[in-house]
Amino acid sequence: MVKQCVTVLSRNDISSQKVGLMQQDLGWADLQINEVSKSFRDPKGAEVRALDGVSLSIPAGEFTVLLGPSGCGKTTLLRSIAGFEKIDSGHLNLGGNRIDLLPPHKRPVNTVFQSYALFPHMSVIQNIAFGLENEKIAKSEVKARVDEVLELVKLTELADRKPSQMSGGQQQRAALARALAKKPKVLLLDEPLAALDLKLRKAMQFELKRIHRATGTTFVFVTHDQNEAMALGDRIAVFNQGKLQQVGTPFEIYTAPSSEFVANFIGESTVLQGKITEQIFQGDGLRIANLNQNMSSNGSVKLMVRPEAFTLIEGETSCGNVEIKEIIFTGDSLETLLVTHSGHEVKVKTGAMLLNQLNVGDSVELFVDVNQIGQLA
Amino acid sequence: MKPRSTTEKEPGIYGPGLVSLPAYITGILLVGLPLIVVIVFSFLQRGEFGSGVIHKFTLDAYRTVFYETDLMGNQSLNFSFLKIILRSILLAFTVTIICLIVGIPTAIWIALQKKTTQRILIVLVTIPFWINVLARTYAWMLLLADGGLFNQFGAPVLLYTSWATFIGLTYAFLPFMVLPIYASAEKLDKNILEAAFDLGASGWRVLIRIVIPMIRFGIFAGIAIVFIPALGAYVQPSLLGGNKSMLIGSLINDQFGESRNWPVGSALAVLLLAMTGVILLATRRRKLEFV
Repeated sequence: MVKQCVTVLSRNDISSQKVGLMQQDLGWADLQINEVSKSFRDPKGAEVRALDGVSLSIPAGEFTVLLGPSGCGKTTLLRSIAGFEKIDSGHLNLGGNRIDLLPPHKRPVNTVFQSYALFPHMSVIQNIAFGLENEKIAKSEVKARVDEVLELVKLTELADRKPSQMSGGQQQRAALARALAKKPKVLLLDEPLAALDLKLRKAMQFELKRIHRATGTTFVFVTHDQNEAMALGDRIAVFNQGKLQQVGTPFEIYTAPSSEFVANFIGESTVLQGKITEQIFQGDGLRIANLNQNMSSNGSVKLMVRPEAFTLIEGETSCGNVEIKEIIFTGDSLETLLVTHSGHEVKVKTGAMLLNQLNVGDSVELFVDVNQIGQLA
Repeated sequence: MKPRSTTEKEPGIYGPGLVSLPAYITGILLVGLPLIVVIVFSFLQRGEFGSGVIHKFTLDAYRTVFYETDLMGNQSLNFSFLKIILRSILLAFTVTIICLIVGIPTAIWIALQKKTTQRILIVLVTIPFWINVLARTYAWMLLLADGGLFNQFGAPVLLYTSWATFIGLTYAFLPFMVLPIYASAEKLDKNILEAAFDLGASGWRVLIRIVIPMIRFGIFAGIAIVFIPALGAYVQPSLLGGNKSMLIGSLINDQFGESRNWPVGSALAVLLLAMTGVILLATRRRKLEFV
């Protein structure tokens, strides 16, 4: 924890000249989510568990991404932190203070909404100042803070525009500035980039990272886009059906997913089911020798292999022969769908230069880097 | 694909060709012509036996409205018409304010309910329209009369007072205030309200700074369609108020009825029309400012 703070602090120093004001009186506060549950009734009256005993600790200053398919509970958790949803059981603690009993306007957190939710009858400046005018802050201080966040999100020139006179990306920045001006202990972002086109989304990802570094605020970011989660998060929390599946750095989540769901949701993967005897895996029509010793060999096992861990060039550990079912050339790489003799599909990603050597229907030998094979629970 | 011919006629907002003809006929026959008749009548002489008009141009009608002639034939300014106008405006204004105070929270509250509940509540709001306004006004007479329901519970007898007129008008026009405000409140993005709370605003501040500015067009529409008919109201002042304090609607009615002075009635109607026109223009300019 201490280490985490130190790294964030040192990051802040780099850009502290730019946003000096933002950092003052920004107390460190960890967000603790303890055994939080929340149920809804669907239109038919059946009970849906949106959050099922979720516990998660978010250190101060961290960029945490809540990732999962739609309806997995990630947005419900975000709205519970903001105070828009009342949790059925569990606690929310921020810096040691319980916040789940406070109304939204008394919680030291602020939200950036997917729809931006800018006040259409107010200019950008008025939108940002609205939040500050709710506190007892001197007019000059309000102006200083508005100017500061406008500069932070690079919107100074459009300060007098109404939301309807701005593009989606600019509205996004305005919404971000409005929330940041309040100096929240935690900034909640509910799929804020979902409405932007791909190019703008990429650009805003960099912007968000820069702003996160510049402010040092804790960011909790909800998305269903795994690429976005990988690009942004210090840590990713993967949700499915109201349950927290796995928490870890993008690297941990990608290379060592804890379940088949996580393996399939984040990146592409091939899951192989079979038995391990004396470090040799057999199953789904493949045979892989020289496995790492730490792989358990009790009964049936599931192995997870990323497409890039396989190769069709000799040199790695052989898995046996497979038939080519489909070849997709994507420019920088070649995505091949292969079938083992037992009918199991294997996804392989290789260099594009193999394109001329492969034909659909060919039988080829499949190789794998055993160090990149993960075992699923 | 063949480029579209530039001579081809685009179907505009009035629709292609003859489709809009019924609208024009209705508009001209039912709105335009009666209006012209009233304006023309106001500049003609009174008929010999009271009803009807003599087709001779005169400003007598307007002179009657603004001046009074004493027994000696001297003319002096007559303030009674002005008083009636002011009284009517004051009443319409008060009715509008009360409708606003009751209507805004009601409309917002309805808009915040579940969709199915909203539909039921809106039907409830419109139920009074299913019954004729006269029948409803007679019902109020029973409630407010001496020995009526309210009187039995200890309320003073309000029938045939200005209070009864006021209650009857407020009751009649409240739905006209609720419906347009609901229509704009229902379109409010709930996220915007959440954002306002999220930014630390209390409920009161959210209402004043966010909700009301965002539903202002509904409020303007509500004000216009409550104030204008309330200004010319006739049924409630005569049945509930007992015509004790004269209002412009009743005055016009009297001119065509008992007083048998069509030109004066028409002149009053033209003056009322001019006044509402001025008020409408004033609200229109306000709207433009906000856009």
